[in-house]
Amino acid sequence: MKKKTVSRFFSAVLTGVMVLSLTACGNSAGSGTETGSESVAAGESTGQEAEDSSGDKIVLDVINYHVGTDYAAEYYTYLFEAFQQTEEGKNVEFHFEEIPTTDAFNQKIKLLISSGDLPDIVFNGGNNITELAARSGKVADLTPYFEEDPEWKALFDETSLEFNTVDGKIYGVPVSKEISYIYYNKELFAQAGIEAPEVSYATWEEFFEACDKLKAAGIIPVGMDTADSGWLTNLWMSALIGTDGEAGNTWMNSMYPTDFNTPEVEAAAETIQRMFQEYTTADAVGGKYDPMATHFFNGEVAMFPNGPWMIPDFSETEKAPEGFYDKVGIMLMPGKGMEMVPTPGDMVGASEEEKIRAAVAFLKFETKPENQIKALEMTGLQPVSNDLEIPSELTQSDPLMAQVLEIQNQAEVTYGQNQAYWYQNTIDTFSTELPELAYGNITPGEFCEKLSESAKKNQE
Amino acid sequence: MKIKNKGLWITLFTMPCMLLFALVYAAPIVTVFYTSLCNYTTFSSPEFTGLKNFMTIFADESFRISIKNTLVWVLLQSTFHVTLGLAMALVLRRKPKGWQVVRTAYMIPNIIPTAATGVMFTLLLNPSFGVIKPLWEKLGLDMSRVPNLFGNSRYAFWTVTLTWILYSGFNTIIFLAEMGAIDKEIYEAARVDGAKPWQVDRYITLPLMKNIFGTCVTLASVAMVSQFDIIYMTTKGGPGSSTLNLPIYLYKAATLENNYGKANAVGVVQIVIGITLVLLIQRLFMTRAGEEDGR
Repeated sequence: MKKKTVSRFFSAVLTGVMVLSLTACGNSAGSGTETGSESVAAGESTGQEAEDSSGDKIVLDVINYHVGTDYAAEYYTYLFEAFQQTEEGKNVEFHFEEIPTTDAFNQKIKLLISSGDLPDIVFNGGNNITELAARSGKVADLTPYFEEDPEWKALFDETSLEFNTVDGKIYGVPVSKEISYIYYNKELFAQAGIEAPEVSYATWEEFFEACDKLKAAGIIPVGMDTADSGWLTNLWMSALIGTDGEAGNTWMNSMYPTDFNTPEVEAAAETIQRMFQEYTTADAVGGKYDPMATHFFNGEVAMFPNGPWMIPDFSETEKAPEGFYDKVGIMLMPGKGMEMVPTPGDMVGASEEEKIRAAVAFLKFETKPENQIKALEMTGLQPVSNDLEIPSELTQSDPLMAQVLEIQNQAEVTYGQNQAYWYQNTIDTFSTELPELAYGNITPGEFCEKLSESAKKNQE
Repeated sequence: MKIKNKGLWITLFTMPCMLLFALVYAAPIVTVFYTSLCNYTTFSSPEFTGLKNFMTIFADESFRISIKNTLVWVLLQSTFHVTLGLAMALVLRRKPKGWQVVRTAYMIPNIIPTAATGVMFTLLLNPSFGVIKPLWEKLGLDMSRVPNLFGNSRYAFWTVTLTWILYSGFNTIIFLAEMGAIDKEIYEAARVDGAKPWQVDRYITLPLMKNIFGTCVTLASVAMVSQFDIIYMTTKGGPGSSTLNLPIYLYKAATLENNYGKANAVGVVQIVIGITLVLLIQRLFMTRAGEEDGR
């Protein structure tokens, strides 16, 4: 009897161990996909060691996702090193944790917001992190630092600061503006006998007429995708909504929409469905951004929506064929539409005054006009400050970038895009339901209904 | 041989496992159970709300689909997958020509990281540049209808299933080890009595595999209840909810909705399903000690 009881007890414990191992995912949701490596800039030591060996140096923890093949990796390496050469930065040392990819970075930051272990400088990878961090009370209110330095504050327009304000307090320092438009392949347009508009097609009808001509010439008209967040499709859809009259534009400039069953959104979903069925590559459904970009680089797709950060890729021979840069033209979305959103700004997770000041000093350095221009040249990131003097040599060295700076002034309609304005789970629903829309398994109305349902979950 | 103080030895040998369990799992599990009954998000500390989270998830169609998909995968894995491993072991046991190469080759997919397997299949089955398009062309089929196996919900569930269901190498190894432990005299006796190879398998090998088959089914089921990485790498639960399972649903609730209370309610459902499955399988397969000893 006793033996049987002991045996049962241990059998139950072992069963428990086996079954409860199932909960590993539940207990550490999000951590499984993260990979990171650590290093210390200049100090060549880690964490506490760095502090000890550097005497009165201030060590700032930074989690950096601009690493490896990231478009801004080189720029941020410059930025950290250059800051340490300045008066404000000479006593600062950085303790880095590197996390490649924005997605993994965002998941990590969210976990750290929850646990309260944020790094001293919190880069912002989007996905509503500003609001999450601000509402958790684990990032510093930067309003006093802006107030004590009016010259610095004057670098930012009201919209950019407002975008980084939660409950009347500024938490993020915007470092750039995000814009997007259409890149087109001049050679493919010529093959189809189409003359590209100087600024944009006047209407979407004209745009689709051009698509039909391209298709008739055996050329795939547009690049689209659905995986991850469906970035390219999001840009098309945002443009379709944002240029659809005042109602559409107002909707596409609203933060956290919960009602997607509006005439403009449903009409846009219907057009997106048609675009998937008639005008894009076979692998667009279920496809990620990278293979779609490769289609554009390889001259397999005529038009590709994206922002100026893509320009350096055109002359990168590892990504695009030699001479591709010269084949690319730029136009705005039909109706002179352009996506333009302030970027979610970098934050300060430090709690000690000394560290906060050092982190703010770095953010000030990051947003110095010279560095905004440097970022433009090295990464294509658009300056957050208006009226910056753009060096004249840019027209010679990077004519496409110069054209971007010029064409954006001709935009008559600007609007946001879903990664900046929608709830994160709604962006995910957008991505997972797009294939269903594309294959006609759900109607545009049902697609919008699913987005509405998803957005409303955030209010439960 | 009679062992003195058997209970003491059992306690001593299981102590590390129990300590580890208490430290690593017990406390978080209590937290999971408690917070599943709370309103608990990134912004707020846990606040008791009773069964609200459970009512919310069971009212969600996607959650019900995720349970259905999880259970279908458990069923497929514990039947087809394990049986395939057993069949392979039965073949390899006879040591046909090249059996060592086959045994090693069959193990390879099991040692490739699942993330890499996910990427490999995504590229392999890409409708633009994968293997399907040239195959379609060769068969003279309509090129505008090249199937998008991961992208279309009509095929996605079975395509994701195919990324793991055929690779039963670990089960094969377990079965082979068990078969190697069977007394050779039994086989010799059968041969002397004129038993044919299939009769040897049917009446000797398979009955003696019952317990280990149960173990393999348990492991396969538990693995399926917590299957995450390859689904995340290939479809992230989509298109629609066609490949959504409980871990992906949980992950999304925690990381996209920032709703830890809801995520932990899913975790509780997952635990309950897991425990139920393990107990059911144990009941089905494990021979009771008394029966085994003929008492």
